[in-house]
Amino acid sequence: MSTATATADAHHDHDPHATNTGISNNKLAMWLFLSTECLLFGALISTYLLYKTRGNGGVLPTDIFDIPFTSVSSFVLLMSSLTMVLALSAVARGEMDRGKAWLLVTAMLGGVFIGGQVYEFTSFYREGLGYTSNPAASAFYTLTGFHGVHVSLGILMLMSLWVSAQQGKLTQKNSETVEIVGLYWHFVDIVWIFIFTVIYLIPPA
Amino acid sequence: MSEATAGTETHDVHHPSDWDYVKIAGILGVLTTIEVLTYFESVFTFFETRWILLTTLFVLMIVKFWLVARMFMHLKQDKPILSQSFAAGLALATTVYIVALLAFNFFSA
Amino acid sequence: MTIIDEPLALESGETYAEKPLGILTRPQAQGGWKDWVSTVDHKKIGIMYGVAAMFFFVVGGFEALLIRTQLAFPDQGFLSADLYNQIFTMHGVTMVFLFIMPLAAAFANYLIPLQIGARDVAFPRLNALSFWVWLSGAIFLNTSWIVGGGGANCGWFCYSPNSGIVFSPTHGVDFYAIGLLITGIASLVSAVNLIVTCLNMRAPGMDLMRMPVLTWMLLVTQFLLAFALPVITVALLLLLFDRTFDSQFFDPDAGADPLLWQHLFWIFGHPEVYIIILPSFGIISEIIPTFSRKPIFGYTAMVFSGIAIGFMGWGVWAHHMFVSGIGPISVAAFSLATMFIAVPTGVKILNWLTTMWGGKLHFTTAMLFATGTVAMFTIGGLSGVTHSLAPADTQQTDTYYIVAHFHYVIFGGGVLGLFGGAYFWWPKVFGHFLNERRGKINFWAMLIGFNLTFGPMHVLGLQGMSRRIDTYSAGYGFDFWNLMSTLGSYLIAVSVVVFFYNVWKSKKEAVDLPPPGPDPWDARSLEWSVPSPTPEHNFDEVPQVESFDHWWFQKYEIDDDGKVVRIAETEAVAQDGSATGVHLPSPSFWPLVLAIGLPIIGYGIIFNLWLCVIGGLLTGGAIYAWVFEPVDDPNAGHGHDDHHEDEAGDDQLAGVGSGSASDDEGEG
Repeated sequence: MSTATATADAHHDHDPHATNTGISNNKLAMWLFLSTECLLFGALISTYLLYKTRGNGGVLPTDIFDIPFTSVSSFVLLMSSLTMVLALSAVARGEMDRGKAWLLVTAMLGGVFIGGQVYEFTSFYREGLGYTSNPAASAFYTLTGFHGVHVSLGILMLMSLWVSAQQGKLTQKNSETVEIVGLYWHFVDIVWIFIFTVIYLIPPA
Repeated sequence: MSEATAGTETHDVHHPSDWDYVKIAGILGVLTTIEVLTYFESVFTFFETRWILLTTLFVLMIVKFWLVARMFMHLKQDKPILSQSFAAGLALATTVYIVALLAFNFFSA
Repeated sequence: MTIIDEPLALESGETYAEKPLGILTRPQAQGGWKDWVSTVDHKKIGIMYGVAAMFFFVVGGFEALLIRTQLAFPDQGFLSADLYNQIFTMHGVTMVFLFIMPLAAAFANYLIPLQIGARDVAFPRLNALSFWVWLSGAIFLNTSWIVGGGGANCGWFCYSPNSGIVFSPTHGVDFYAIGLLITGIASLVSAVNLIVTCLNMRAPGMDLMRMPVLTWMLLVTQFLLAFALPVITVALLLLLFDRTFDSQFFDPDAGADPLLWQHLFWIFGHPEVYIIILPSFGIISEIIPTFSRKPIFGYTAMVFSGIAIGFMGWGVWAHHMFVSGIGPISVAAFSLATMFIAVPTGVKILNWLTTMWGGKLHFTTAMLFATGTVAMFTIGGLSGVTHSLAPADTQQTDTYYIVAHFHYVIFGGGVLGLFGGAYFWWPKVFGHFLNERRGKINFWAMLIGFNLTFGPMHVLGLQGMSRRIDTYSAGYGFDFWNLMSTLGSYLIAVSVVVFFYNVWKSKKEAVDLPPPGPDPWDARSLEWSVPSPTPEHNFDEVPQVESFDHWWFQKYEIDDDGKVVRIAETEAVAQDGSATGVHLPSPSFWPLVLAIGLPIIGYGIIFNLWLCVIGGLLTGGAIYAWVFEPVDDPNAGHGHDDHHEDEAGDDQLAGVGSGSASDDEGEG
C-alpha cells in the first residue's frame, strides 16, 4: 500500500487528502481489513473449538498447557500494545528518538512473545503433541501458528518503521503510518486476548 | 454532505496522555492476573460452577478487548464509522460461527 | 496523454537525470505493452479484467461443450469418468472464479469512480495488484492440466474426504486450493479498495443515497467479498495442510469431521452467489431506466433490498447441506431463513417491472439482455424457492433440477445482465457502438440456446437424473431431453461466436460511422457526462452533484405539470475532456512483480519448497520496492506550462476537488 505522505504544501487550493468521511484512505482501509480478519480468525478458532477434544487416542493440547508460562508471554504481548501506543504518541509529538526507542521495544516484546511460542511449541512436540498427531493438535498449531505469523509480520513492519525513522523518512508529518501499523499490532494483540481466554484458560468440561 | 477534512488525528482535550495509557495497561495487567488466577482456583472444578467460571472469563476478556480497541486503537476518539466497520465484521463472525457450532451440536451436553 | 514532453530543468544544468532512482523510478511508458503492464488507471484495469474474463469464458464454455457432448447420448465414454470429473470441476471453477467474478470486477473497476465523480480508486497500485494477482492465480490454476496431473476432480465445492490425498492423489486439488487462495487475495484487496473508494472519494454533493443503484450493488458486493473470502481462505488452507503436511482436519478415521469443510465452504459459498448476482442486478438497474425513459422505481427500496440481500445471505448457507446429516433443527432453521431471502429479491423484480410499466420502452440489445435477465432470474428464483422447502429439496438435491436452478440464476440472471452491460457501456469504453443488428442475433441465439440447454434439466432432475455423472444408461427416459440440452448448448456457443464477431466487426466498421458522443443513450448517471471513450483523467472538472440522476437533470427538468422538459443539449452540458495538467497517479511495475511471486510460491508448496523461497523473495522484495518508490513521479501528469512547478514530492491522488487544469493553455 502506498505510504501516507501528508506534505503541508497546499499546491492545490483545497486539501488533496480530503475524503468524504474525514478519515484517511489508509486508515479506513486498515480498519476494514482488520474487520475481515475477524472472519479469518473466527474460522480458525471455531475449528479448534470443534476439534479440541478429538485426540484420536493421543495427547490433547489441554492436557499439556503450561498456563503460568503462557500467562507471562500473554502479558508481554499486552504490554507491547502499551509501548506501541507510546511510540505513536512520541512520533505524533515529533519526538523521533523516543518514538524510535518505543518502536524498537515493541518489536522486541513481540520477539519475546514469538520466542515464547517457539519454546512452547517445541516442548509440546516433545510431550507428544505433533502437528499431525490428531485433529485437536492440527487445529491448535494452525490457529496459534497463524497468529504467530501475524505477529511476525507485525515485527517486520515495526522494524521497517524503525529503519525508516533512522533514515529520516519517517517523521512527525507521517505519524499516521505509525498509527496504522499500530492498529494492526493492537488487533493482533486483541486476537491473542481471545485465544488466551478461549483456548488456554477454559478448562475441559 | 461530503466534508473536506484531513485524515490526521486531532489533538483535543480528550486525547489520552502517555500516563493514561500506562494506567490502562495497568488495568489490563490486573485483569489478566485475575483471569490466570481462575485457572488455579480448585473451587471451579465443580461442574455447577463451570458457568460462573466461563462467564467470568468471558466478561474479563470482553473488558480487555474493549479497553484495547477503544483506548489503544483510538476508536473512542475516532469517527463512528471505524467502530461500525469493525463491529460489523466482529458481529458477523461471532454470529456465523456460533450458528455453525450450533449445527455441530457443540453447545449440547 | 498527460505525460510531459520535456523534463523540468535541473539545477545542475543537465537536461534530465536518467532514472535517478534506478529500479525504483516510476515507469513512464506511453502506450504499448509497457503501458498496460504498469498501468494503475482503473479504466485500463477494468478493460484487462474484461478481456481476460472473456478468454476464460471460452475456456469454461469449451469445458461445458465437452460435458454436453458426452451427455448427448446415453452410455458415451469418450471422456473417462475421471476426466469427466476434472472437466465439470474445472468448468465450475472457471466460470465462477475466472469468468463471472472478474467480468463483474471489470464493470466495478471501470464504472465506480466515474459514477461517483472520482478520478480513480482510493489505491490505484493496489488496484493493479488485484488484477495481476488474479490473473496469475487464474493461469496457475489452469497449469494444473499440464503439470498437475490433470485438473481438480472434486467438483467446484470440493467436498472432503474426496478432496484428500487418498481419493484425489494427483495435484489437481492442490492447484485448486492454491489457485483459489491466490485469486482470493486479489478479490479481498480489491474489495477493500473499492469500499474505501465509495466511502471516501465521492464528488461533492454525491451523498451515499445519491449514488447510482449499480454503485450501491457493487458496494454491497465488495462487503460480501471482504467478509466471505477469509472463510474460504481458511477452508482451503486446512485442505492444503491436510494434503501437504498431513494435518488431521478432514480425515474421519482420525476423528475429524468432513462436515467442517462443508460448513466453511458454504459460509463463503452462499454469499458468493450474491457476489455473483448483485453486479448484474446493478447493471440492469441502470439499463432499464435508461430505455424506459423513466427513473428507477423505488430507488430507496432498491438500495435497501440490496443491503438486505447482503445481510440475509449470511444466514442461509446450510441449505446446500440439507441431506448432509446436520439434523432436523438445523434443517428447519435454514429452510425458513432461505424462504425469507426471496423477499428482497422480489422487491427488486417488482421495481424493475414497475420502472418499465408506463415507460417509453426502447428495446436496444442492452435492454433485451436486461429484460431477459429479469425473466430468467425469476424462473431461477422460483426453482430456488422450491429448494428452500427442505423435504422437497431432499428429492431435488444432487439432481439436474439443481443444475437447472443455478444456471438459470447465474447464467440467466448473472451472465445475461453482464452482456447487457457490455452492449450498454461499450460506446463509453471504446468510443464506438457494438452493432445492434448483430447484437440482437447474439441475444436471441443466447436466450433460446440457454433455455433449450437448461430448461429440460428441470424435467431431467425431477425424473431422477443424478448430477455429476459421466454418463447415463439408455432406458431411463433421459435420452431426449439430454439431446435437446446438448443442442441448446451448441446454440449458446454460436451466440458467443456472434458476440466475438460483433466485437471485431464493430471495431472495423467504426471508422466509417459517426462517433457516439458522450451520451448516446440519453442516460442518467455521471459517466455519460464525459466524452467517449472516457478521457484518461475522467472529468475535466469534478462535478458538483445536486441530486440522484444528477446528469439527467443537467439535460432535463420536471415542469409544474410534472412533465419532463429538455433544458439543455447534451453537448452543451457534457464535459469535453480537454483539461490538461490533471494530476494522475503514476504507473508502477511492482504490482506485476509481486503477483508473479505468488504462483512461484504455489509451485514451491506443491513441488519443491526452495521455490517458495524464491517466490517469497520476489513477493517480499516487490512489497518493499513498492513501499519505497516515490509516491508519485514529480514529472508525471503535468504540462510543462503547469503553474505548479514548485512541487517536490507529490501527494497521493486526491479524489475530491478539481484537477489542476491550467487556465492559460488550451492544448494538451
